[in-house]
Amino acid sequence: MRNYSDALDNRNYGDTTKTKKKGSKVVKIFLGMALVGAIGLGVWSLFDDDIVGFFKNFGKDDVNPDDLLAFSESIPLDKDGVISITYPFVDRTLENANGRYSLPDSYDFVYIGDDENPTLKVIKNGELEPSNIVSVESNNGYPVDVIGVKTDYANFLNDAGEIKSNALSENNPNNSKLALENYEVPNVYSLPAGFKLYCENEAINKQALLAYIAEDGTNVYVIPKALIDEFVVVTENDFTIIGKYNVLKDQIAEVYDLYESNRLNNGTQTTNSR
Amino acid sequence: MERKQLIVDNKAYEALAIFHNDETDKDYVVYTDLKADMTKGITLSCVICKEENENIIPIKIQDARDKEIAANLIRTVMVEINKYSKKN
Repeated sequence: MRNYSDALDNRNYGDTTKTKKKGSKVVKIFLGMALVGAIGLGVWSLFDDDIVGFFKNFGKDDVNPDDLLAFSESIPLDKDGVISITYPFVDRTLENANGRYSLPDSYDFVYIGDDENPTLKVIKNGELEPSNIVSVESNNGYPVDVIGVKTDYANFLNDAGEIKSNALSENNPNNSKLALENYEVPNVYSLPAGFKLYCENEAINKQALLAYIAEDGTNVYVIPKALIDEFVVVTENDFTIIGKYNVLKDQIAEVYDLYESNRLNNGTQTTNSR
Repeated sequence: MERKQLIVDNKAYEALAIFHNDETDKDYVVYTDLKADMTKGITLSCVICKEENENIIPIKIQDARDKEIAANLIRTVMVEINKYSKKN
């Protein structure tokens, strides 16, 4: 399976293995949603007319229902212990494989592929478009690797992505702040207050052991010498931003993967070569 | 097929499905508001639940793992609804 999360980073840090967790199974079904066994399997029957109407009438008549999933909230809302995801109404048209794909003005397209020059042209407030529609014109068939994301999230991705890219570059000036200390115990490093160590690889990250924090806030670490180059130094603020960026990136990639699998499984679009 | 509602914060919602997760050993209910203004979008919600006297009792989520499970269940339900709506 393609790793869209890494593609968003435009880098490949290799696989990170996650512990497989037990899945959920359906206990009770209402309104004819007869899912049986594991999630995703089963037969739907006796769907209540109100429910059918509610979902079938969502969006314009010519909206491809599969496209709805591409524009969902990538971060679920947690309000007082209730988890919600809103799938926004999208005024989207799909005329043919080469053509325009539209989003409401509060959304932006985010490209999560690894092509440095994707054949997508963003058109805003075009002559033929209503002013509140953002369109992407594709000359290369159905625009895969593109997902609609709320503008605030898209802007954050751009800004935070640049912060992370700068942090991981060889020219990161903060890296010089990590100093090797001459102690009896080998591989001891100090980092001034206000800075943190960051490593993209979670397994390696855990091998940096915080020995103690000095009175002036200096952090003293024990880090295996062979792994020292895997770490970069970032400000505490950038550390927080990078953490949030990683979470958002993974969630967007997950939503896109789900959307793309659904689209291809349903055969609603022919697969176009890129 | 039976139809079920649940009350969350003094408002009635339509229950779509209840799932049991073996890892957490909890039940989760996915629900929606059929009376909502659809032009603003569809919102699916999920909380932990238990059944008492055939009523679905919501339990607010506080644990990070429960939040993750709830979000995945919502997305799964939306995918299945989407598939069903296309075929019918």
